[in-house]
Amino acid sequence: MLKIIIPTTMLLPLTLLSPPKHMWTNITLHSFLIASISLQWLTPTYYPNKGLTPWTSIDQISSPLLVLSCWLLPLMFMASQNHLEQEPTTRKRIFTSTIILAQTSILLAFSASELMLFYIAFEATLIPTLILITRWGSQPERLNAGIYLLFYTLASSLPLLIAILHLQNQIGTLYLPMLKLSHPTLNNSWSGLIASLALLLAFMVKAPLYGLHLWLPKAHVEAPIAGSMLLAALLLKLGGYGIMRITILVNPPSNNLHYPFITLALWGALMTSAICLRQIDLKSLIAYSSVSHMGLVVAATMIQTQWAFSGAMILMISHGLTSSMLFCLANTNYERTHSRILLLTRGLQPLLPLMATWWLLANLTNMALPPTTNLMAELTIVIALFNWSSLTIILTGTAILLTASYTLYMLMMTQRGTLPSHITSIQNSSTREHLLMALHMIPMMLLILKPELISGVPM
Amino acid sequence: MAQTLRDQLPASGSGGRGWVPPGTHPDPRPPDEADVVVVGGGVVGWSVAYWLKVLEGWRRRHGMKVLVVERDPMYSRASTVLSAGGIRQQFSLRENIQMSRFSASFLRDINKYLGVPNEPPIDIQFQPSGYLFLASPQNAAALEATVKVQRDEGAQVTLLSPTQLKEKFPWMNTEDVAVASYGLEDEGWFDPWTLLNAFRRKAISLGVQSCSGEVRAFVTSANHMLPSAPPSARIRYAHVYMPDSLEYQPVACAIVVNAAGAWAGKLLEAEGLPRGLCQPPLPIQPRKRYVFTWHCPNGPGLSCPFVIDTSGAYFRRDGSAGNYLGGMSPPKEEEPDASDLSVDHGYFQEQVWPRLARRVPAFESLRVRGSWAGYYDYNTFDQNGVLGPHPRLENLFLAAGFSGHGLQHAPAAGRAVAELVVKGRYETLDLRRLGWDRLVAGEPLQEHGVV
Repeated sequence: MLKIIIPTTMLLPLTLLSPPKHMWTNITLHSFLIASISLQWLTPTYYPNKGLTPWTSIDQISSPLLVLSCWLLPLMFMASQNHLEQEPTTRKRIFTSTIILAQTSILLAFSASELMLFYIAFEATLIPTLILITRWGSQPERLNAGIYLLFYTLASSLPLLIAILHLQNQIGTLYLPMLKLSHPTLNNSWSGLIASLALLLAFMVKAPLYGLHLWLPKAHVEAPIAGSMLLAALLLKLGGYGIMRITILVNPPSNNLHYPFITLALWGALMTSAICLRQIDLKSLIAYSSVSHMGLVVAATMIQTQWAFSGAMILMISHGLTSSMLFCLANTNYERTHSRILLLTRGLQPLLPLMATWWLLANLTNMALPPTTNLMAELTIVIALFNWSSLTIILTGTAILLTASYTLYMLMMTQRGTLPSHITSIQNSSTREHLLMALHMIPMMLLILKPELISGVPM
Repeated sequence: MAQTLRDQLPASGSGGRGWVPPGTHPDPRPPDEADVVVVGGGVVGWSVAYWLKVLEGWRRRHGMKVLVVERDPMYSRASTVLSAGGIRQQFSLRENIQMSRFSASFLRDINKYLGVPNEPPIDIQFQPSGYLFLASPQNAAALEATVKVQRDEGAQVTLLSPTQLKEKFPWMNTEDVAVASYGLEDEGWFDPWTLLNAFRRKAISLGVQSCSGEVRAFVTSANHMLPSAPPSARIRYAHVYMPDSLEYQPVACAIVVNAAGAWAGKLLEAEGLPRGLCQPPLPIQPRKRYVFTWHCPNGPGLSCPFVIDTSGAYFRRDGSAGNYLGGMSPPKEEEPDASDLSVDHGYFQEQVWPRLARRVPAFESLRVRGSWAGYYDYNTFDQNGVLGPHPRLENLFLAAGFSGHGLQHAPAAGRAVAELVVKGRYETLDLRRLGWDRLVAGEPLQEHGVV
């Protein structure tokens, strides 16, 4: 673990002290090196946890998410290069430092083996994200978006803090391997119910669950591209990961508590997919599609079966890569036309045919086309839910149908249709953008060949 | 006591916005970014903004961000509010007739289009008294030909002989008049200020933002490219300068609409637009025109139309108490200096009055009440509006140069530009001939009915 955390932390002096000419090269190269080292976490092991220490541990749920966050760091840097070009060097350094601070907190959060450390890292990711949105977003609405993000997350995580401290008092330890062995139970009383609600709510807001998702479209739309990638690919997964960790602690009140969550999650997947069909703003469409996919993740983690956890893990990783790629594509459009409105950035296939290929691939993975891992995930979750209750197939089936329809709508609107009258010649796609899309797509393609790596089954 | 306490509180801002910190600028600041920036807040600019939102459809509240930038919120020099407010279909160019007919039907149903719920209905005080063009024997054939074109397009215009004229308008002296054309329907005059405010109110209720400032510079994509002349460029930022200040806000924009009226040509000479791409320069200049009002107790009554004399002088009734307004466009050699809006009173005494008095004997005794001057956004090339996309600057659209008919063509021009942006082509009216191509090719589309 240290061989990843220390280099990531040392990226900070690297960005602050690099000569301006080499700053981007240094940062991107070194974070790629860290990403390649992080792949060693995916190797199989007999031990339940790799690298076990009193503070960090890596097991089959955290390793795919850790590799994803290490992989996305260089991609975030590459995506931000264009819109930061005009800024003075100091501001570029501060931007990259903010992302690196967020990255260290996320690495700590995913690898934490103690609940308190997990909570601290979970909260710590909030501050760099807030800075990214409110300082580098481009519309006046970003202040509103920052407030929504901050207060939704804080308000839901304070009860989490209280519940964790209470658990520490009761059980005596918050060390995850100990908790796995001792299986503490809560009382089946009102206080137990409130305690489990407190434990779950913060992650429900983060995931997000349908009724608590209002911060997400605002934050995703107003954030700069690196902020959007960070939010969509990593921070949402903190919610899913947190639910997976917490569920061992919330028995038996969760026997009754899971009903409203599963209902809201499945209904939300359907509703947000329908909302996507009505969106005018491209980034807002992609944000709502994130809510839809994460709704399936939340529903799966609440039923707590082996297949459901496995499906949720695969969906989190594939959605992280797909959603991040869609945001990068939307950003390439935005940088050229300065508009996110679908009406004004449409019919781009004749103008940018190579980028159209990436659009096609990203949209195909988004609507869970076989043989991508998105399909494996959605099928696993749908089957697990069907096993739990036959009626869920109606909701999940409709959600999948609507997902395919809004994805095709997005593809047709942005690529085909009437040629825009105000875009006759457009700046060509640069190699950096193609590299960005390729580096998103290659892991997705490779994982089709060996999905056990991300499926959360002990290897 | 409650009143005293209430007086202690600072005056709150407009109801919708809530409390604003004291010391903030009263006018709204331009945002960092807007999807469409409409330069010019006259009737054409607000019409474009309104139609953009309407054509967007059901998504309008959360859709495109349209920003209207107006440098003079008092409208002290804007052509819209200084206009005589007439609307006619009697043009010689088909597109002009079609635009006026569209605008006339728009104004008929103005409350359907521009009505805002819970607000009082709009009354533009339309006086349907018609236009009367008088033609001398040399111009009679041309007038009859244009009336035929107008009738083809569906305008209700009739030709009157001198005897019919005398019968209809006994106050007129018909010497030297061979034939006259009289508009029977959808012609007259209305209050331009009401129309402007109606467009503004409705557009703001549909979510259009406005700010006061002047667009004096642009940043285009050509600034980043190598000096070798690019074939085309995109406008990326419009620098909106604050009034009376050197501060400016670079507004990132996807589309810029030039609705700057008389100063549309000057806008295209703004800093930042690559010179090579702005050839040929837009030939729109401000031309000063005077309007005089007078009182004549024995003048023509309520049936008085908007009369355009064979000499070019024109007048119309203004209200019902014997007040009239009128003027004349000077010949090309005697153009007044357009740097300010001062009125030359001698012009009325020497040029306009004798001609009007010859045509209407009752006007020999009149009392001048007042006068003002306004600008025509005069297209020196062919006196017709320029509508459509710029050939080289990809995301610049033009809607200016109507040379005195801007007010009556505003609803149609706004809809045309909005259709270009939202749908990609003209749908209601085909105005492709009014595009920029005729300026590049050097083929004027002459309009013979410029008053």
